[in-house]
Amino acid sequence: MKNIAIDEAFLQRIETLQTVLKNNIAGLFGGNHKSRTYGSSCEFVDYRNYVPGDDITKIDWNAYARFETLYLKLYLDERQLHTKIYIDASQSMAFGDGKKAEMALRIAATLAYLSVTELDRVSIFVIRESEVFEIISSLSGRERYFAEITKLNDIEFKGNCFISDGILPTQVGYGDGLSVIISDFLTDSDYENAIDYLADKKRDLMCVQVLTSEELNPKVRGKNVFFDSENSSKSYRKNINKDVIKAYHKAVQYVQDRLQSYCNARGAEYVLVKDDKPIDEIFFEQFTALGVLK
Amino acid sequence: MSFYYPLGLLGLLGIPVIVLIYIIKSKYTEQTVASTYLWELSEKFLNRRKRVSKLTGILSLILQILVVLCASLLIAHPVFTVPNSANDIYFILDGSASMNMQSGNTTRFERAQKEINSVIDDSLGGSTYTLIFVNDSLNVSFEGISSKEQAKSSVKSLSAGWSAADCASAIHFAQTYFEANNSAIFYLVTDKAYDTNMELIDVSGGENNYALYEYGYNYNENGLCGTGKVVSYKNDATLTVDMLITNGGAEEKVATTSVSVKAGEPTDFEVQAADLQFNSLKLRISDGDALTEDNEVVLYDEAKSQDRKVLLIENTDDGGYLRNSIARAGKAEVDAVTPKGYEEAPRTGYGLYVFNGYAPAELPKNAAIWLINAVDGSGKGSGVTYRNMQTPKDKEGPNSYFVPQYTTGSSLQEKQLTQDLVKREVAVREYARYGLPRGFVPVLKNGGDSLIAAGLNENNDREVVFAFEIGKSNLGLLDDFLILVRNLMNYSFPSVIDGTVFNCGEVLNVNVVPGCQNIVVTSPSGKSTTLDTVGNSVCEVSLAETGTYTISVKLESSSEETVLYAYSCVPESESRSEGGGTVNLSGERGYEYSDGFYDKLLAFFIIISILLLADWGVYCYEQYQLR
Repeated sequence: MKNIAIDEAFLQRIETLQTVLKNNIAGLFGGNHKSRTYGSSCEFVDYRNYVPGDDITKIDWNAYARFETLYLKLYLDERQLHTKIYIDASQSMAFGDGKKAEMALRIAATLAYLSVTELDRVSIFVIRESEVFEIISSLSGRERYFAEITKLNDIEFKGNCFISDGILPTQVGYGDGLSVIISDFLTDSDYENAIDYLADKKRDLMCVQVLTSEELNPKVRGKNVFFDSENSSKSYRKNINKDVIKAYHKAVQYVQDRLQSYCNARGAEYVLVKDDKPIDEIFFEQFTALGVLK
Repeated sequence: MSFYYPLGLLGLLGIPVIVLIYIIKSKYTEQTVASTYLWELSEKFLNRRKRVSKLTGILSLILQILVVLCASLLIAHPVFTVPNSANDIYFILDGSASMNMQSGNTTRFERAQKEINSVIDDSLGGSTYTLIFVNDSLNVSFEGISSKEQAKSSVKSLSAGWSAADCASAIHFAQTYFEANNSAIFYLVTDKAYDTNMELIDVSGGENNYALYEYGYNYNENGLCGTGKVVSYKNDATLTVDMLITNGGAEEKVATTSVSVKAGEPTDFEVQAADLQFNSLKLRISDGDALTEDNEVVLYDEAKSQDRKVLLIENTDDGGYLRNSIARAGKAEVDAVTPKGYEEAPRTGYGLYVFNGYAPAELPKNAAIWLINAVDGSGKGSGVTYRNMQTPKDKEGPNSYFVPQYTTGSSLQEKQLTQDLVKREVAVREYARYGLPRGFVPVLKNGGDSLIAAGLNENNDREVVFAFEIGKSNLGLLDDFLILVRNLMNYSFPSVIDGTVFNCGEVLNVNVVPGCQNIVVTSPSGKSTTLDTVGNSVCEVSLAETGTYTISVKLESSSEETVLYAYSCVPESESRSEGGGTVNLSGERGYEYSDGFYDKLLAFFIIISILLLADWGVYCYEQYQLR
C-alpha cells in the first residue's frame, strides 16, 4: 500500500475549518463543541433566580447589589466529542493503482486531524468482511495524532466488505459525535442497516463515496469479460457498445441517487469523491458546500 | 446452372478466411474490475434486445459470408439454363395509319411497341427475335437477333406510317420463316380484327374517329359549295365541318356547317360559301378525335394549272371541224392559220402545233406537234420519214378501204392514248407508210403500219402522227374521234400530276412536261426530292405522309417555277380501322425449342448484396462505435 503523505501546510489550512454537528447532546466535558445545555464554559448565556442549594460561587453579586435579588449566571456547556471513521478495506478499494484507497485514507487522516484540533477524540476503524477493526483508538492531541496516524499505512485492502454486518455489532456511542463511512458503496443495500443504526444512536453521519474516473466513465469497449476483484467467481460478459455504456451511466447515477436519498432521509450527509480530485478541493469546496465543515 | 465467369467463384475462398477471422476476433477480453456491481446493475437499464443481441455475434459472421458469397456469384454471373424453352419469336407489326390513333397520351403504335417489349422481356435468354414491319411497304427491321436490348432499341426506332398496310403480304412473307422453323412463335401486332392462327396482339382501344369522304366542291347559284360525307365510327355525334380557303393570302374560314351523324353511317354534308375563287380549299371536321389527320382534306383548283393553247395550220376548209373538236374535246384555246401565213410569220407561244396536210421545213421546238397527213413533208425534227402510199386493191366494195385496229398494248402510254375508246370500226381510204422514230407507240395500226402513232420526236417533244387524211376516213364521224382527240390532247398537254387528292401510300405519277428543266417534290414534313427527269416521261413519287405535297416544275422557257399541289390523305380503310380478315400460316406447328437461360437473378444478387453491405455497415457502426 502506498504511504499517504502528510502535508503539514495543508493541515495548517485545515485548522481553519470546524465541523458542524447536529447531535452533540452527549460527550465528555472539556471539549471544544458547544452543547445545547448549560455548563461551565466561559461563554455567558443567561441569568436565573438563585435556589437554595445552588453553587453560591456562581451568584452575580453585582446584580444583587443593584436589584437586591440573588441571580445565578448561566454559561454554555462545552463537550468533547468522539469522531469515528470507518474505512472500507475491501479489495475493490485498492483495485488498480490504489488511488481509491489512497483517497479514502487521506480523507480519514484529514478528518481525524480536524477532530484532534477541535479537542475531540478520534477512532479509525477498517471494515473487512463482516468485522470492524479499530486501527486508531480514541486519539486526542496533535502529538499523539502524528505518532499514530501512520498506522493507516498498514491497512491492507483485501477481501470483501459488509458495512452493516461490521458496524451493527459494535458500540458506536450515543449522540457523542460524528461518524464517517468511507467506501465505494458498490453494493445493493449493505450500508442501509449501518446508516439506520448510527442515526438511531444520534450520531452525526457522513457517507463518503469514493469512485475512480474509470468507474464513473469507463473507456472500455468491445467484447469483454469482467471479473470481480473481490470475488473471482463473479464475472460479467458483455459486448460493450454505446447502449451498454448508456445503461452503465444510468446505473452509476442510480447508485449515487439511492445512497444520497437514503442518507438525506436519515439526516446523514453524502459526498461523492473522485479519486483524482485534489484533497483541498474536497474539504474546502465539497465539504463546506455540503455544510459538514465551516 | 452455369457461369459466365467461373473464375469469380474463387472469391468463395474468402469465406474460410472470414470464419477464421471471426474465430480469432470473437474472443472476449478478460479483465478484472474493482466490482462488477455497476456492470450488472447496468443490465437493468439496458434496452432489451436480447434475442437479437444473442444473435448479433453469429449474425455478423453470416452477413459477411453472404456478402462474399453474393460478390463471388456476381462476378461469376450465374446463368440458369432452362432446357427446351428458348423460342424464335417473330413479330409482324402493323405500321398502318390507324396505328396512329391516340387514346390518352399513347397511340396504338406505342402500345404495340410496349407489348412487343413485354414479350421480349418475358422470353428467356437464348431466344431470337425477328420483326417484320408493314406500312406502305414491307421491311424486316431485324432478323434473328438474340440481344433483347438491341431488339427493343430497334422496336423503339420504328414509327407508324400514314398509309394502309398489307398485312396479308406480310403473313405470306412470314410463311417462309415458318416453313424454315415451324416451332417459331409468330405474333401479329395490329389494331385490326384479324382471324389468325398466330398469336394476335390487338392494340385497338375502341377509340372514336371521325373522317371525311367523297369530298369535292362545286359552284352553284349561291356560290362556292363544299360537299362530301362525314362519318363517326363509334358514337353518334354532331360534327362541325368548316370550309377554309386560301387565295394568295392566309387561310380564311369562309363557311361552316353542323352535321348530325349516326355511328358508322356516312352522312352527306354541304357547306355553302359566297362565290369565291381560291387556290386551295380545305374541308375540316373541327371536333377532336383519335386521329386528327383524317379530319381534313385540301382541294386545289385544277383548272388553274391547265392552259392549253393550240395553233392549227391547215389549208382545208372543212368548216372548222378539226378546230372545234380540239377546242371542245381538248378544252383548248385554238387559233388557226394557213400554211402560207405560218411561213410568213411563224408564231410562237403555243403548246401544240397541229399541221394538217402541211408540214413546215422545220418543226417548232418545246411544243407538242401533230402531223396530220403530212405525206412526204414531215418537217425537220419530226423524225418521220415517208416511204410510200398505201391504197386499197379495189376501187369499190369491201376491199376498197383499209380497216385498221386500235392498239391493245399494255404500256402506260398506250393505255393513256386509248383510254375510254369504244373502238368502233375505222375505215381508211389510203394512208402513207412512214418510218417512225424509235419509241413511238401506235394507236391505230394496219398490220405493221402505224396509222396513228405518238412519241418523242428528234426535238424531244411530244409528237402525234396521223398517216392519213381524216377526211378520207370515217374516223371524224365516229364518237371515238372526240375521245381520241381528248386522249391525244392529254398526251400533248401532259399535266404534271393527274389529280390533286390521293390516298397516302399511293404512287403519284409526275409527268415530265416538254421543256422541263427539273421537278422538285417537297413532302408535308419538308423533305425535298429532285426527280430524275432525264429520259423519263413519268416519274413516280411514293406518298408516305399525309398532307400537302408541293411539286415545283422549272421550265427551260421560263424563269418562274410552276407550283402544283397534291394532297395525300389517310386511306378510308385506315380511318375505319375495322376488319382484317383471315390470315393464317399454313403448316403444322412444331414444338422443338432450344435451351434458354435465365439471368435475372443477377439483379437480385445485386440488391441483396447492397442490403447486406448496408446492414453490415450499420452493425459495425453500432458494434465498434465508429462515430
